[in-house]
Amino acid sequence: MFHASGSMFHSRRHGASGFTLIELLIAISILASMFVVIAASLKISRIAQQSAHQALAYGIASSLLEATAGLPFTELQNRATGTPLGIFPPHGTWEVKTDPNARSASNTLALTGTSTAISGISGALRIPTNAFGDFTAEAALKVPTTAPSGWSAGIVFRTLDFEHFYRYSLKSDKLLLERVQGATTTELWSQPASLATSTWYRPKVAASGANFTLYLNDTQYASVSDATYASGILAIASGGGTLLSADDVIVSSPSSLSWNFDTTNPGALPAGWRRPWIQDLPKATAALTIADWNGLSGIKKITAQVQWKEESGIKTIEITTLRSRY
Amino acid sequence: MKHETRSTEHKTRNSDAARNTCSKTMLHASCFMSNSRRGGKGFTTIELLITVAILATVAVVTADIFASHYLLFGSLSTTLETERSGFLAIENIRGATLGARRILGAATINGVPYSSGTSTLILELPAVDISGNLLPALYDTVVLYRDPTDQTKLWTETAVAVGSARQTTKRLLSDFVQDLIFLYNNNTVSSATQVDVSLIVSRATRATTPETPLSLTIDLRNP
Repeated sequence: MFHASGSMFHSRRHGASGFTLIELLIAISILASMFVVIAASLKISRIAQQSAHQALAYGIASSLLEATAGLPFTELQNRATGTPLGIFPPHGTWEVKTDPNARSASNTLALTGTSTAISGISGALRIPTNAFGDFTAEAALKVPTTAPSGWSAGIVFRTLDFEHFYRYSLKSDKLLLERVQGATTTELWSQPASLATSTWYRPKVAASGANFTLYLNDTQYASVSDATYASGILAIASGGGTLLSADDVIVSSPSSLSWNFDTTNPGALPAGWRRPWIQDLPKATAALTIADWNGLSGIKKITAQVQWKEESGIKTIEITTLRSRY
Repeated sequence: MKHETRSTEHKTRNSDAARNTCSKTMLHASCFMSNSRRGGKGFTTIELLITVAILATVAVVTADIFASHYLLFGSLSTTLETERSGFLAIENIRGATLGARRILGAATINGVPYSSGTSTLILELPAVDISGNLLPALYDTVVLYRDPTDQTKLWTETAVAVGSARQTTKRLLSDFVQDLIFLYNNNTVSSATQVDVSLIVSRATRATTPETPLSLTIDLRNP
């Protein structure tokens, strides 16, 4: 380049213009080096990302299968819907958001994207505790003014999976306790109420044995009995396709735990609340299917499939196991 | 006079030859010499400044290429190392849990007391001898725990029964833990039959903090 610059002066003096071949070659070499470095780095970066995606996808598929291992054979009914069984992963997109109207300043836990409703659940996130039989739990909940007319928000409890749980819901026109058992939803109790959007409500459930005491804003509304599910996990859930904000989540028994989300950075989730699942993969779906193996109803073929999208196309991880009645 | 004329012609020829060389190759060192000879002067200040500026630009571009290269590959190697650490940790948890007989609520392992909870998992595994035979009523104990003093570290420690083929060990599974939680399907942990494990490993590079989220649900085979 030093010589080339000399030649430039030389050319100018002689009235010539443009670049010499050597100048052009050097410029092309520099540009090519830059492109090679950038392309190689991007490629390696993509490979690293894909391997992380694969590991997570394998973990999800394996979890879907593992969750069925502890279920009795009679629970393994043929299914093509893909709904997970024996596991209650996050549903929808959840993150902490700054909300000037947070119940306790300044952050809330927000459902920022709903998913296809399963058993009426458009979004759900497990409260990070063990499964409880007896407990007392409450959460401040608020739906936005843009909520669809059929909105619901509440606490699901003694949850085994998306087909086995109790749900204490707040709706625009009533309070409601339901039991979901497979495809059947049974109303255990309801009471007319007029609830508004963009307003904080604080539902609370106290469960003891087969008895459930239901509160709203510290006022007891009902005491209901049902012995179908003895234990399960707790979660915050929305229904009717609505987004949801939650704040001041409190589990006062059997452990004393509470979250106000104020020390968590917006966009993240507090420690323990994040369960890596398909929301951590690009455009992913996870499905569990069960079918008779070779037409034998005594042997079930259980398949867990996770699909996600990479730049190179759709990737799939599928794991299959057989489970015998005998 | 005749001698002087020849001498002048000779100089002119030399000068033309040098000019031709410069115009053809642009690289010949005599280019600069010929300039001097022609005008009887060196480089002008502006020529020197432009040359220095071009050199500086080339140096900056080259340095930038190497710096970018260094940063990118540094970042990538950190990412890969973090991922590997996460994979290793989750596979160790999977391996230990799959072979476990039950979850223990508490145990003293190699002289240290542990309790199963959200950041600690204690498992009891059937002891096997070197030939792979089960040792009746003898059990090894494995603890997986997040270091309480340095939360980025995930350790596993094993205490073995007499005659067991396993070895008493303490191993670091990952030192990039950002978040780890064990959740059980029974609040009495020793009665739990299912464990949900969420592990997020991450490590800051100069440019970003890439994270690898990993998830695992394990159903205990022999509760």
